[in-house]
Amino acid sequence: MDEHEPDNLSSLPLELLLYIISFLPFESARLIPFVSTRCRSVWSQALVFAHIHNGSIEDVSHALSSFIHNFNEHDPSKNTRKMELHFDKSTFVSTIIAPHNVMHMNFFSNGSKNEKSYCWRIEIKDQIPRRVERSGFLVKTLCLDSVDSLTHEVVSSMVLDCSLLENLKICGCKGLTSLTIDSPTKLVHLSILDCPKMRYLDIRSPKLKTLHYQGFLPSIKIHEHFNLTNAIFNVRQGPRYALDIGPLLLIIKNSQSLALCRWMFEELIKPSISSSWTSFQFYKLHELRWIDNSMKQENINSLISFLKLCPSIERIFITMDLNTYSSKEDIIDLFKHARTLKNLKLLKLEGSKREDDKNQLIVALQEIVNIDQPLLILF
Amino acid sequence: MSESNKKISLISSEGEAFEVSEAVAREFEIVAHMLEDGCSGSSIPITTVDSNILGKVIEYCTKHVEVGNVEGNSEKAEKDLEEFDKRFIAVEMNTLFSLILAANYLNVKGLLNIGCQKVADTIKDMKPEEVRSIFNIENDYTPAEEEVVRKENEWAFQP
Repeated sequence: MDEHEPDNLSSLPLELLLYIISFLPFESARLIPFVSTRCRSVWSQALVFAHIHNGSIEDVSHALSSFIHNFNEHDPSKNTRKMELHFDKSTFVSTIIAPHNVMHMNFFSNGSKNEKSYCWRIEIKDQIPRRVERSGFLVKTLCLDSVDSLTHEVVSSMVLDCSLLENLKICGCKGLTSLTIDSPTKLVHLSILDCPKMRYLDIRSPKLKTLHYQGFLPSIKIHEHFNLTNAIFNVRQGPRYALDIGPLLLIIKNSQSLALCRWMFEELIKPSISSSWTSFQFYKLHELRWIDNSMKQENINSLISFLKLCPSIERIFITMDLNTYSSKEDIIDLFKHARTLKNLKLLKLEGSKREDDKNQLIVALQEIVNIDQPLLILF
Repeated sequence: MSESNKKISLISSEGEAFEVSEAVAREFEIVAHMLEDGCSGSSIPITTVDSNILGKVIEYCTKHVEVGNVEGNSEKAEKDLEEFDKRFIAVEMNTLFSLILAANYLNVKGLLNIGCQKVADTIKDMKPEEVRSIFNIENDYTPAEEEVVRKENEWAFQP
């Protein structure tokens, strides 16, 4: 095509571009912003269902619930998926209805208001069978970003009726100090990322399978944790407050896949095993992600010591991050008895380029694997 | 005198006059409003639309008025009209955009809809680079900006 041909599409008036987008299925429309900067700006306007200014908490809750209930994948408004609601001059929430029953709520506020401490109780009424509704959007995954002391009530009142909620992600809540989650029948996956003031996490959710925690480790209590098979503790920063070490071991004992830092083993797991539970093992653990600040000999010893508790382990991934918190205490290997990890098939080290690290790790492994065992080691 | 016999001249941007029945002219909502507002002159200037495009819009409206007047067998008529629309809108890109702009200005709803639908159908299964090439859109993103856009729209692509 001739390079000097005019760019007709971009020169159409905005209202016509928006009208054209309304004829596109969402699967195609979502590619529009990638075409050019002009297309990006058009798309950002095409998405918006409504702006509401200076609403009270009740106004916002009401507008939000009517947005969700009136959304229809099949009508021409299918591409208007975003609503911006302003609480006041400095605080607003942007809500996006994404495909596959996912909803995102990002809260914005300027000033230091969003760091004010608050406790939050999220309760989901999911025992009552939902009456069948033909229209409306059913939230199965909810991603919450930067909820604060002012706005958390809006979320609580909305979530109460999300009776099909299976997956909840909470991140960047700067003032959140204590979180209670109560989902009697539905919640399966929970992620909590980067909530720096968090001290207590209390979860009552018998179906919970996955817990992903990132940030300073708080005290965690999980009632009915029997289904928890995948736990990720990306807690490189260490603990911020003194921890109640009791329940952690119970929570993760049925894990099939586990991510944790060396310091958690040394400070939280080892003491409770050595004092009261000497026969403890992670019988079901197949996959381990281990985070450490270095591959010093003592650190490797700690890892080997942990592995002796994992008779079914198949895959090990080690991530080295220099900034990971490290315990201060001297560590002694409590588990002298040799044990062979017959199922171990894969070990991978990430974040280290040093030859020494690799060699020390291989030497240390010889203590717990058979010499003729097929084992893939990746660096 | 029946209304449909009354003739009105529509003048294109080049000054060419197109004589049409009032019923056809009324398909242009903008003209219909003028007539209702008592603008009774028999020639109406359409200064932003050239002869080529104005001729086409008149062809479209004439056909739709004709079919609208036929009585009985509406199913067949509707099918014919659909066929007509399909053929009518199968034009090259520049003409298509001119038709959309004209339909928007003259406020001919039906034509505007099939025009926009046609553009949407064209880009429906295209990748962004294909959309750029077919419409001569310059990719004005830096790699860093592209990354921002990708991040910003991640939610729309998550499985």
